[in-house]
Amino acid sequence: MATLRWNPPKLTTATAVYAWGVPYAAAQHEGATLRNGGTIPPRPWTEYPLENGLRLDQDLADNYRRSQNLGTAFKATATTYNRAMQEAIAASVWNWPRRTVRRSGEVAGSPRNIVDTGDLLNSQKLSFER
Amino acid sequence: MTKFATVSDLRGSLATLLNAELGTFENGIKRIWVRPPDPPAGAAEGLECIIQRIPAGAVRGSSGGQRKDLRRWVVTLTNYAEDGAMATATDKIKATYTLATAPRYVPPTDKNYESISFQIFDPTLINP
Repeated sequence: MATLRWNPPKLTTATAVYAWGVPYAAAQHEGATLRNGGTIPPRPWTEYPLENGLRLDQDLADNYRRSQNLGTAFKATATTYNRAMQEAIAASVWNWPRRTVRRSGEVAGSPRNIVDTGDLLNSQKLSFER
Repeated sequence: MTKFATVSDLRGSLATLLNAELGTFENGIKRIWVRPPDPPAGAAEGLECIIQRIPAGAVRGSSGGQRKDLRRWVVTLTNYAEDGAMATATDKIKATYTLATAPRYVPPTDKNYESISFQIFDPTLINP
């Protein structure tokens, strides 16, 4: 009878958690109906990098080849995605139906970025769990 | 495989399922709408259900030269009343339809109303 001897790697880090600590983050990402009668369109910055060329599978393979350590490779890839989402928030690629005077004083047209005061961008946090 | 031949079928199914939870437009009809066109303007009250007229989803090759359309109907509930109607409606939708992805919930803030979006999975075969 054939026997398979395999010692799987012990993963100490298997989950990457991305969080945005401002109350309006979900509305900005998914779009929303406003209490003043207006609407805001969805701007899914978590999907934008994946739909525009970022290949996390290739990145993970490259990182593993370099480090020969799954945990190190996973954290490096998760960090790449974290940075890509921040770049998506800061990119002027998001359509918007009207001109807006932002709280920063900037007049924003379309397409625009999702950076006004910077609170959303700066609130993005990456943490790791088992 | 196909559950809804047209968006009107889906609208009818949702209208029946959510009859007790849906609010009403000012003309008295239930607050369920296929967009485009935009729903009637008016007071924001009750639970509203908006169905995207054109479903999302990729198309793949299938056997015999057919094509498989992996349709996903996009349905969004917005709760102007901020009561428990949306939670009840969400439970009913989860119990009735196959969802392609996890629902996307937007909590209420001082700026926006509470809403949740579903993608109802409804694949169909397309004959060339």
